[in-house]
Amino acid sequence: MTRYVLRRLLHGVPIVLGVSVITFLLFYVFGGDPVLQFLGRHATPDQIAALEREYGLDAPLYIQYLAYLKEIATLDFGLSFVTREPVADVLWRGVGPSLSLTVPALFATTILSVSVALIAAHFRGRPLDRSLMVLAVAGMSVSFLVYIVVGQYLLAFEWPLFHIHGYRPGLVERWPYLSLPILILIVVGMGYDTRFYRSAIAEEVDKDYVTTAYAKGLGTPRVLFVHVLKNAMVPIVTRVMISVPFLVTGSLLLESFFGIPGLGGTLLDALDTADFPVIKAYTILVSVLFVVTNVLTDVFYAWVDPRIRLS
Amino acid sequence: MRPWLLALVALAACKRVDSAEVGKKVFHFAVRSQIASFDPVHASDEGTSIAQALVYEPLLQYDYLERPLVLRPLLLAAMPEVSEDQLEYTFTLAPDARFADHEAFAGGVGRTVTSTDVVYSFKRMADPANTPKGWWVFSERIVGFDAYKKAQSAAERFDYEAPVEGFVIHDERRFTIRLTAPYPQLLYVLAMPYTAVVAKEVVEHYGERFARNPVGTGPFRLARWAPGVELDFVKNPTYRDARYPTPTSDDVPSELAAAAGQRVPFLDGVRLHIYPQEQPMWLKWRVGDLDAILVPSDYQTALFDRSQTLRPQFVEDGVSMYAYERIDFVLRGVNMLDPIVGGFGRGKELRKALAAAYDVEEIGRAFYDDSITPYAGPIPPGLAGHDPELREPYRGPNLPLAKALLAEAGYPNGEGLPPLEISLYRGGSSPEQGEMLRRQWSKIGVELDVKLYSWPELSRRVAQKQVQLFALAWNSDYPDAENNLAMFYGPNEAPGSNHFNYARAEYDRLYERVRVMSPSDERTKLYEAMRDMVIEDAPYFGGFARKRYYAYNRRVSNFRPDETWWTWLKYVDVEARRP
Repeated sequence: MTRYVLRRLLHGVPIVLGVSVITFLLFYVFGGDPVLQFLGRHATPDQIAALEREYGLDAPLYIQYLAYLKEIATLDFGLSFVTREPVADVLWRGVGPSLSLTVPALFATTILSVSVALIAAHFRGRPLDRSLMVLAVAGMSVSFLVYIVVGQYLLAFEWPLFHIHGYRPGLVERWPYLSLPILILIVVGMGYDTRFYRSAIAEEVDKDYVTTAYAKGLGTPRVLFVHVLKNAMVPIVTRVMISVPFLVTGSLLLESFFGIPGLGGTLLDALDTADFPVIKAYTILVSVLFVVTNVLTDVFYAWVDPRIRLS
Repeated sequence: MRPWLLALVALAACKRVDSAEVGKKVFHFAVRSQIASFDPVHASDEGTSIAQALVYEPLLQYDYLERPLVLRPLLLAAMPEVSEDQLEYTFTLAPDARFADHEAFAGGVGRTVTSTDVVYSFKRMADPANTPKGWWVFSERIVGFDAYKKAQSAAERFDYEAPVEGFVIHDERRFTIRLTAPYPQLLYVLAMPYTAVVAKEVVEHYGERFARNPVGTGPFRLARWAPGVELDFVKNPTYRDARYPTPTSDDVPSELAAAAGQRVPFLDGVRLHIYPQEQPMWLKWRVGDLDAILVPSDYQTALFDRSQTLRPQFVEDGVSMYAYERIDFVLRGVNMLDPIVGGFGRGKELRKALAAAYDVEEIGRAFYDDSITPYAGPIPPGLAGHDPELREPYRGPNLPLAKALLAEAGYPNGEGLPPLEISLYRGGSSPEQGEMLRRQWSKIGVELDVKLYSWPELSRRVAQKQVQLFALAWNSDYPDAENNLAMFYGPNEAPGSNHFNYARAEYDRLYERVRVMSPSDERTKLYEAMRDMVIEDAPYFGGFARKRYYAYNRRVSNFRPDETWWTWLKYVDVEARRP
């Protein structure tokens, strides 16, 4: 397995390099000019030239790209153009709040969605199944922004059950502020996830082993939550693992509306100010996470389904 | 209500007032943008300027109560002495101006501000390693300063001890700035956050982390910075004996004059909350967690009606509102280098036709709650050279005139004119404003493509002269029309402030004259002549100024916000927080 994992990780290197090339070129074609952004409306050609030198933006493109590759290799992305802080500090600061928001939401969404999907699949074609699926489709169809705006207005302002906005860094103090955004993430996520899991599970409930389990006298909860669930784990693992990179990158909208200083907001600020070092590091972080989670997904497949062998 | 629900409500309610604030006067204020840096040489945006003004101070500030704005000493003992030829300004620092206590100082005790500190702070603007944003305020103005910048920037190490002929230090408290030519805006510059005074010991103590660790002479000290969320400032216990101003005219409302002569700051602390989104800021203010806000544009109609009268429920709640008239110049600009809409030939008639088909009042009704002030020429209301009665002869909406001018330009009913292209920021109401403009111009047969860009990309395109038409909002750096007239000075072409790339030799000659003139009737006449040239050539159209509305709750007093300067926050008072 170790050889397999190493080989897959090596296969990820061209992907990360490809992302680096695309990010780099996109920034130069469509991105703003960080120097102009920084100097503002009174910029003079002399100042622009001096700052381009300072930022290394006066070098030929290939030299700048090589410098970027060096940054990737050394994981040292230098200083933010805007705040002059080390980029690693900027990103690291956002990881904790983003994970605090997304990890509980992923766990809760997955447990609830799988449970609802098992029930729906068990009653498939019947009114309960149809009602649950109508709810799921309705949930998916409403914009994320609507959930945020309405949720914040109703549940935090009109009916003050939650904080409207804010964040505290303490491990305990943060949760009152995170409750509503986590709840919104769960509600938003459940629509899509429930439908997806229900389709995967519905394929299992007709299989012979389920009939056999019932014939042996096992109760419905045990059949569903032990036997069916175990056999439906591959699509569940796939879906969960796809979400893993987004756990770290946070939720741009939620963070912005609820004042959570996560990586989503960090990226938004970086895009607004053409803070290229932060954008570059963020992009590479996401692509590396994708590669790693892809490999981990395969490992999990083998773990949840012994028929799968990694070679 | 179910018990678990009650528990949740109780939990949320008890978290609302921070227990550490009970019994203290803490002013909760909102800013819309991230605080990028606490280095004064970076203070160009509003959020950063507000935060820095709590900790750092420049030499001058404006009078809190007088309008129009009048400069007053801040770190100075008195206003500077100016030589007869206007080339030398001699300053005397206030004897009690001192830095806050900090371990960087000997014994941890903040020391008195000296002339050397002021010169050192100015020199930091010349050091490229500091990536200063405000060098333009000193560029080519101070004797020997440009040469010093050039020499030190090229040297292996930037030497702050190297002399600059234009900075003459007489003693610890007196120094002179010698100018290359009269610079009447110098005093305004010395009220800008770029020129705030820092201590060399602190800069060296923190090195690269200086921008996140401010230690200044101001009324507050930074106590906590949660990036992206909020900043806590506490009263600086060693702040000098500064007093609330005494009104010098009868125009000052009595509620603002009541605190005259009292020692400031009144507050124990300030918490700046960062809100990238409007809704949470509005809701937090509604529940009383914020004491004052700049009312988000989408919520203005919730707060007041079309006559700018507060709605009854807010009056009942004791809310007050302050309408701040910005020194503002919002416009639709033209790239004068564009072969179709630019130049001084048929492009000029075309620009006037477009202006005549443009209905700025409709824009004001639809997007600004009828609170804009359209005006002619680039000089905003309140500044010398502005004439509220003046109208451009081609002011829209005037469709017959627009059609006639379009025909005169060689495009009768728009025939032969390719679709025009306007580049706009994709945020706010810009896309909708672009659509409105497209509809207005379609009435005279002009087609318009609306291109939307992120702010950095739009800035780049304007700076690289890659736009045909664009939108721009210019909030003046200081209350002198010179700042706006510089926007049409040829040598300031993009990427400088002349985004229009307007170039007219006669205008440039006049600008070179007025930029060294002190305020006088003669200068105002020249301002007016320049204003009229711009109106005649129409490198932009549809200029207007906006109002911004601040709302504050009954706990707040002495609140008179001004966006030209921010050191006024020390004059604000609030009632102590209750549990």
